[in-house]
Amino acid sequence: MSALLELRDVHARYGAVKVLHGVSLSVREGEVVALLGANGAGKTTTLRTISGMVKRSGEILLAGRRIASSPEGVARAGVAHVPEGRGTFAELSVRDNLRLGAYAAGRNGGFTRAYAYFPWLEERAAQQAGTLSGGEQQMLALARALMSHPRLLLLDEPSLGLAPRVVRELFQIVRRLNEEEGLAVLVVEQNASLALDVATRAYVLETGRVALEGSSDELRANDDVRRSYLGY
Amino acid sequence: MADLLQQIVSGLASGGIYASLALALVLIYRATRVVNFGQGEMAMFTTFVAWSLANHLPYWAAFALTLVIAFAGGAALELLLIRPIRDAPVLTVVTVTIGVLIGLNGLARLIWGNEPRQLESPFSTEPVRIGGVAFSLQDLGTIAVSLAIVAVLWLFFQRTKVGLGLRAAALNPSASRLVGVRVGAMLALGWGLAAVLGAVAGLMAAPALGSFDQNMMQPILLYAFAAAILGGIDSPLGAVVGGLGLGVIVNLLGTYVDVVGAELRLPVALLIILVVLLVRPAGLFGREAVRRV
Ligand SMILES: Nc1ncnc2c1ncn2[C@@H]1O[C@H](COP(=O)(O)OP(=O)(O)OP(=O)(O)O)[C@@H](O)[C@H]1O
Ligand SMILES: [Mg+2]
Repeated sequence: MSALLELRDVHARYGAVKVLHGVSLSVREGEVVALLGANGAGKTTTLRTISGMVKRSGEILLAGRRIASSPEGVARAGVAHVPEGRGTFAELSVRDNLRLGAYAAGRNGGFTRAYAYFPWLEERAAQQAGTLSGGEQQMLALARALMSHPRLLLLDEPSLGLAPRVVRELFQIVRRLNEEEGLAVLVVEQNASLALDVATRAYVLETGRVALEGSSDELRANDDVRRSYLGY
Repeated sequence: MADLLQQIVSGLASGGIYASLALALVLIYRATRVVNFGQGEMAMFTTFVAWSLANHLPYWAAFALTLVIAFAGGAALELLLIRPIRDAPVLTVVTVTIGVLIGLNGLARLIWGNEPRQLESPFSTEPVRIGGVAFSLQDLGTIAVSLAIVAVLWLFFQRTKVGLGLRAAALNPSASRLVGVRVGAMLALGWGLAAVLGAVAGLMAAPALGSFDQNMMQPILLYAFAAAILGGIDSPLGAVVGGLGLGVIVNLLGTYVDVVGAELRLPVALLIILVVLLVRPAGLFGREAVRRV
């Protein structure tokens, strides 16, 4: 299968602080790829760089073509990014949050799909999004991402701060989206065992460089990964 | 009783003007997080533009064209003056809006000179009788125009995609960009709409004042500030309710309480607001966002 997303020797900086020092990675069509790494390794920055929110050099290709350099352009090209902290519009209703998900898409029908995966959202469409629980807000963020019919989903630490049961439910839906819709996903996770369960391949980032890459099985079997990220 | 009704309607008419300008302040506050001290002079400037246009065009044509020009002018101010300093401290941005105030006042004097002008009212000065009470058609017209512009804007914000983008950009710029909202364009649009609201306020205020000059909006801007703060500076509903309420209260106090009269209206209004803010620091409708983690 061809690469849907490809980063070639990508460098990124915040002002004078260099954070990514030549990251190369790829996500193929229909694939779930995990991005692992310690705090501050640059995982969030990698996703933000793909979305055009950080100054960069190097090449980023989406379906073989240079990706747009602005977040608006990347969104319009079919990349949905659920950021760290979920990006909920807390003061807006659930419905308006979902409408915003479709902002970049020229297509309708998002609500049907979002409600198919998250039926409870329909009953609570009028509720203020900020009054949802953390888990519900993460589900809303995922539903919002679906609204644009994305070809690639960028997920930043969806499990952060959520109860294990909610996290399992969330990853179950990510798996279904991948299997049923062929949605390609690049997911950043601290919870490595969970991420490796749903991903086919993974990259390990260390201080802005790819330190390791391989299939999920290979990484699970790797002693360093086991000690540092799986904890056994 | 009839007199009271008349005074209430007359208060609502001034209140509609305060509400329009207060709403303009709130729009910009939500988008840019600053109070735009130039808002009153923007309104004054567009009123002079309308005066020039009305010399050649029928009133409502001049009115419509003025709103278009106001929109372009407001958006241009954002692009040329505010955008270059968008990362600067709030105080810098506020200083620039004060520069807009002074600059537009001077420019208007340069173009139109110092003598007072008159802008005819689009509404007849004949009173209309409703249920035995005579109301000024101009008051009723002012209320109708103010409420109409507020209603149109409300529908725009609630029902249209761009309106949704405007709200989102004001609430969470970075998340908005990630879903494809052009936040920069939304800011310019917000300034443009604020200028349109200001223009409506100026156009309604001019005939009510009789004659106007370059300082016409300064007291009105104070009332609009007061109304916006009373309502809660980031609440559009608060600005409208605050503006209308303030108009009525000030008018009733000025009419029925002898010690207040015409002179003390503004200080008394400010006193009322002070008391409200002591009880509700966020204003009547301003509230801290409900947020759970
Ligand atoms: N806006 C910013 N300005 C300056 N430096 C930043 C900024 N955001 C992140 N950094 C720095 O960049 C480095 C990488 O941060 P990043 O958020 O990408 O890490 P991460 O792998 O996502 O970590 P975590 O697991 O804690 O979320 C860190 O050293 C961080 O301090
Ligand atoms: Mg992170």
